[in-house]
Amino acid sequence: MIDNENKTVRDDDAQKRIIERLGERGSKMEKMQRWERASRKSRISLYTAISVAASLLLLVVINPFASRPANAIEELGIMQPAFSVHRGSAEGVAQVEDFIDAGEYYKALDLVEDMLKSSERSIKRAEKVALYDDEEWLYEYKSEKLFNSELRWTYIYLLIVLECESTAVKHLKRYIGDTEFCEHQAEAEKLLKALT
Amino acid sequence: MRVLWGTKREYSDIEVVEGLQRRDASVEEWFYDSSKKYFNKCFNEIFFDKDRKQEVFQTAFIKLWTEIENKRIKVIDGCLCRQQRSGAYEPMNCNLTTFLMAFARTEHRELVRNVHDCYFEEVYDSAMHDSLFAVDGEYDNADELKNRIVDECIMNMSPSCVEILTMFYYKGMSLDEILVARNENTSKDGLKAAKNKCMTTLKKRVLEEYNSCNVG
Repeated sequence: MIDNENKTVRDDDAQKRIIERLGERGSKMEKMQRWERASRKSRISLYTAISVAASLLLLVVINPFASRPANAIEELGIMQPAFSVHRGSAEGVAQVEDFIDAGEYYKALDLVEDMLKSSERSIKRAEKVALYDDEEWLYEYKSEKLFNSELRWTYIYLLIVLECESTAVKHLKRYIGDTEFCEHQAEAEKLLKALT
Repeated sequence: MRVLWGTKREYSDIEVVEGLQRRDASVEEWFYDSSKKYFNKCFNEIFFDKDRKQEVFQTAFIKLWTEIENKRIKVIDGCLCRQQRSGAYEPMNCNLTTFLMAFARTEHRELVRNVHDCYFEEVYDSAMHDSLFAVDGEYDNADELKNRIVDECIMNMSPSCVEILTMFYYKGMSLDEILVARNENTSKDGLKAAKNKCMTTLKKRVLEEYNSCNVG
């Protein structure tokens, strides 16, 4: 009888202590969860502070660049190229102007590049049979040279708009070198200076 | 003492042990944070997912924390000592984080062996079924020893059992609430049987340990 009572007391004591220690363990778990939440919160605050600081830094550092003209053409206020009236009817010229107006600069560039190559071939062909005393030949030759120069100026314009500045510099040098047909010499020199 | 972030300070292992034993909240929190950082740095690649990693860390941390609170690790003459199976305290030749990692390794091994799933039957790992306490140990008092015994028995019980018993007895949740919280495909009767079995087995184990240690 006494043994049984003792056993019950021991059982009860053990169970009481088990529950108490489970509680102790449970409160430890709760503390850890609280610390985890606090650490997550402070991490988020830290990341927020870093993001805000980075944004401010970007604003301070990048903003002057953002408000800067996008390219040398804008910076120097150079106008969109226009072709001479009689050459304006040349095949493809109207299309080039349309592409530029629509902002489709890559398409315009491809077209101008083809036209430029074709024009250079025509010039080379004409130079092979140079007839400087033939007025008709001379007129055609000079017209082609002028057209070639206009095409190159347009090509330079498009290259700069499309940020292909190193190729633009190469063509600018060629453009300036052909002084007789270099209609935009002053602008070209300014551009060259701005790009180099 | 090194000042970090203006207000936070670092604690040595001795200060941590003393702080945890007097339940100093700032030491507890600092120790948790620094242990977590160490754990994340050193024990990172082998985990399958974040939750498991957190589970391993928290279980190992609670184990270490409980060991310290129960004075199985304590400071004697300015030296960090750990109680041996004989009951005597010997100076520790490693630091607290090494202990934490050892506990975490064991915990991880258990996880890999997949004993953490809901095996209500497997209340104890058979390998752990030897007596946990030395009978010839010198303990401060019987009450403290009983706490240690119960803590050890809880720690060696399956996590499912610990969770069910904690929810039922400590949090005062009903069986229905536990069923919802655990989101398991078990019937209410099944859960009730499991809960009773967990408590009976735990109690039996605790009483066995009391007997072998001549307390109670």
